[in-house]
Amino acid sequence: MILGLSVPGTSWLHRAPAGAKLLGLALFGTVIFLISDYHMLAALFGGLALLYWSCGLGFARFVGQIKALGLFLVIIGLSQTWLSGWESGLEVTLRLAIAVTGASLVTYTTPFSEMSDVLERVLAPFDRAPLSRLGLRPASVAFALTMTVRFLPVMEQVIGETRQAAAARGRERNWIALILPSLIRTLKMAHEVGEAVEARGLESFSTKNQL
Amino acid sequence: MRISPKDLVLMAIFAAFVAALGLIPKITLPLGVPITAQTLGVMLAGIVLGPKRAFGALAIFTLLVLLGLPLLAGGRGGLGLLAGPSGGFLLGFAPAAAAVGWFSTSFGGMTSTGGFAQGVRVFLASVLGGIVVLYGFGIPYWVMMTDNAVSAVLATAVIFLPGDLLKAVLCAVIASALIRAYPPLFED
Repeated sequence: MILGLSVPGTSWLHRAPAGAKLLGLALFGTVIFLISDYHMLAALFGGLALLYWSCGLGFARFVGQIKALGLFLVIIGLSQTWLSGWESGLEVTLRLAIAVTGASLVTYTTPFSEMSDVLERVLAPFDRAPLSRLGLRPASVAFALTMTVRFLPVMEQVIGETRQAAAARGRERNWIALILPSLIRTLKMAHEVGEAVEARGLESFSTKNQL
Repeated sequence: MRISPKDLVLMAIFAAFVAALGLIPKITLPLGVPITAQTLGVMLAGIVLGPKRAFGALAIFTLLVLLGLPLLAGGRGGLGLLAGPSGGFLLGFAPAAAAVGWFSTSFGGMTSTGGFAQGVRVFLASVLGGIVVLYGFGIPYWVMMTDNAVSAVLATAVIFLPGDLLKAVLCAVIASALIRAYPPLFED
């Protein structure tokens, strides 16, 4: 089973409702683009590191994200420094690091199920007129997301088996030998599952009130 | 707009396939540029599923990544991606897949007697949708998020171009083999 990125915990950020955290993040993302003083940005960056620590996420996760951005941060910082001075280079680098670690804070403190609940609530108006005419039904979105999550381990297994088969022929680094058989199995499986779902009477995810 | 349950299942399972492509070991080109199989999945979705279902499949994938599943190549996921410089590429997955499908269809679609000319058409559709459209989302987003000069961003993006062109070639090869191995696929 693929685990989400969220880290279990009981801090105030863990307890805060997911919707509120997302709204807060949107506000945060807007505010940091209005700040251009690098002292303030540096203070915010330090504050975020403390927040990671106080929410039980540990400094390692904070540092890990900066590391993952490493090459980008260096390129962006250097080119900005070269074009408009080191203050600007520092400002842009800090802002990017803050934006990414801030957004991940929501991901780390919110379980996948709570995030998809928010999505369901956001989509709810699509079930009512006039938006229902667009045909984007929350039930079908939820069905598709659940189905994909259910099939993640299956597809992992398909790729894994194909890899072993390719390796047995000394072709484990050949993308075509890996992807083509996996793709054929995927499409056959999708066909069979589709037939089964249809046979069980899920007629159509159209604007009509089925399911 | 009607989505049949069969199509919904196909989109959902293809989304899982694109996620699994992230598990294939990356190839490292000279200069240390990594290329991953996931954007090949974007191209294949367009060719195999057609524009609408390809959009749906990649939209499902993108949603799951943003909601916090580590499905992007290298085990990445979460909202932090949108705040980073490469967020536009993720958001571009679904439109790019749809574009590949649209170009492929308007070039005449797939037939089991396509041959070499068809391979060239798939390659072109993959380049236009999977590279031009995808970069069209990725590069402006990058510039917007970082205030970097467009020239600096383009100079970085160009490093990934050879790998992406290679993927368009692979997509054409795989699509041609697929139609011979599994013809019913392209009948509807």
